[in-house]
Amino acid sequence: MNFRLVSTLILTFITFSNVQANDSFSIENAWIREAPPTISTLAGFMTLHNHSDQALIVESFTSPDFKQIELHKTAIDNGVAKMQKQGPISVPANQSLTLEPGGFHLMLIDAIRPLKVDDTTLVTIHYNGHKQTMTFSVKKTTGTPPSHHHHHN
Amino acid sequence: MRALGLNGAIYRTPPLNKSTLLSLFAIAILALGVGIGAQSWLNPAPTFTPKAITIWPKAIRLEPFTLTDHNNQPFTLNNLQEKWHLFFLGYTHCPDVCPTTMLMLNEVVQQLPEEIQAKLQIVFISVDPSRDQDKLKPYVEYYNPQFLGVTGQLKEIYNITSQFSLPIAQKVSQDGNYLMDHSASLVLTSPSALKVATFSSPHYAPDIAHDLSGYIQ
Repeated sequence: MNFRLVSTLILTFITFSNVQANDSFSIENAWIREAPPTISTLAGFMTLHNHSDQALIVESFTSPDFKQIELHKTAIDNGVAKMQKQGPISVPANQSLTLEPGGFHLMLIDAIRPLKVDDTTLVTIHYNGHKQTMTFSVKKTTGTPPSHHHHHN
Repeated sequence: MRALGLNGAIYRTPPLNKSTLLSLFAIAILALGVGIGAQSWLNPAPTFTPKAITIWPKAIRLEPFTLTDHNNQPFTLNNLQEKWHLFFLGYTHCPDVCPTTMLMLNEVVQQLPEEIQAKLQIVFISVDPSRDQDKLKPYVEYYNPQFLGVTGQLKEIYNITSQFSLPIAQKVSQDGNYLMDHSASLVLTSPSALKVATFSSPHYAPDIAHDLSGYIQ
């Protein structure tokens, strides 16, 4: 058992404000967009910071509240919105990956229970042969801050 | 006679790959089919400075289509009379772009003066009828109780989306599930059932509200 695995196992997960961290990475602002009633396909977003000196290979995601989770990327290609399923993704050492509306997102498939605003759900990130469970909170928002847009005169 | 859709007045030519070409060809055939007898009128120039809207130089009369709304009532060309309609294509299994756009459209409506709100109907066209037929009502009403959801047989969906020059395509994955690629643009029709304008993505609610307030009389 190497040091990294031991430290991952024994480190208590630190949850303060909206940052959750272990010894190799942290996630910030993890949220799921509330869906209309009867809709069971949702999207999840977060910023993932790899603060270790090795690449963080994110292999997959699981949650007790969803049958399946896939990593997707939205692309607007000549005005056409396309979702592109992603394989395992590598976050280079000391770099970040942001999942946000209109870009990378978790496609959360077949919700097992309805999730409403202010509910939370657990999502386990499988990475580098380890796993870490994170808390996502449910919100109703476009998730697109005005600063993302070019302001016109 | 004027051809509709992809032969219409405004279309940015994309670089084409083989599958795009095939879908464009299919849409072109459909567009030809519905384009027979199409007429157009000169659109008045805007009296405001547009921020997001693309006003078609010529307004185009739409040909008949038969869809069904979320209350199981027919939604046809006749329903376009008397009000302005702003259309968005999507499907309920779309977790990112569609909710973002529906929430954005609700913001647009909230930002419109009441007299403009009263003249405008927002319409969500589901391009995934087999999965969405029964989900349309709770789906659209969640975003705004005044929004209308419509869908129908695939050929009727192609009928209206090709008249709107909005491409759609089904993408089947290995596990048998499928995603729909769909245009992210919005299309505006006038109370005379003419296609008059388009909003291209990315969408920014204040800009769309500004232009609708200036354009809708």
